[in-house]
Amino acid sequence: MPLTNSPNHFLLSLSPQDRGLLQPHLKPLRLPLGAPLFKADDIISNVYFPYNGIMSMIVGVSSGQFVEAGMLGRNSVVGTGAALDGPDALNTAIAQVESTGMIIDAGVLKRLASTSEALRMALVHHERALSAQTQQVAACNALHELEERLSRWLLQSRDLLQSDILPLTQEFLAQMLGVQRSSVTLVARKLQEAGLIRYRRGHIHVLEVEGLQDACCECYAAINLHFNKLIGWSPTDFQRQQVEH
Amino acid sequence: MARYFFHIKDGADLIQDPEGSELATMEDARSQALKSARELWADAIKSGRSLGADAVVISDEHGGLTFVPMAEALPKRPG
Repeated sequence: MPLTNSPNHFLLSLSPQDRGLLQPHLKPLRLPLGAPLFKADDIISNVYFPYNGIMSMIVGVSSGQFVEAGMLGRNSVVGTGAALDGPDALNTAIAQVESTGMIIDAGVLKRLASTSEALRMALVHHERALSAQTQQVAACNALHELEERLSRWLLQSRDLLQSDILPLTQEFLAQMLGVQRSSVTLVARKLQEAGLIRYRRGHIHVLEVEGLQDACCECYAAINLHFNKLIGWSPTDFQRQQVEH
Repeated sequence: MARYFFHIKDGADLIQDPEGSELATMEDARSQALKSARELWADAIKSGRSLGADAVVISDEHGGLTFVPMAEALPKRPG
């Protein structure tokens, strides 16, 4: 696929010269649901430009639990640290929803970035955008209630997937949000009773976007503002699927 | 491993867990139900809202039900 029409926002935002630097080195990748791009303390081999799906940056603690610190998809790039600095993965990046896209060898990208200041700065901006998101998520997790956090999470996922149908289990959601299953069961039921979502085994269907925006905390808007200012990306409208009854 | 569902009983209402979790034993399921109940208590107290549950109801693969009353999850008084 020619990069001028790339579904990935980072690649699309590069100048034709910088795109030309990367093009010969890009290879396709498919990450099935749950597959890691890299794990904490690994050496990052490849930097990933998703075309679809959702990549979650997750932090593991000694109990074996993992909590999500941020999510990225076609709007950005995963593994920028390896192209700017050292190749050690700070945390783990997994496909929360199956993802396809293009990868480039981290060492190659680092070398190319040293020859193009514009390319290097684009990587810096995306690294900062992820950092802004994870800082906002840290505040959100500490201060906001589960209903607000879950609403934000659903809206972010929907924006990245460009779909109202989110193929996610409540068990997975509970893990990502760092809460017990039953807490998600109760909050999901509340959102369903309010007509905002409908859930079935294995997926959640967003019905009322404005309602979810009202139910969520300020962090959804804050994260979008950071992304808009730093990397020029905002969520876009898409053709909504038929509401199932 | 077996699949256990963690429903929530609130008066006459049963709020269903649509997917369940894979766990090794019923003891593990009880332990998870108590953990869930403690978190529901904590959320209710912190937010000032009502508990919204009388029990966590564990359903095994055969439809057998085990009730874990919310009261069971409260901290025990020293004594």
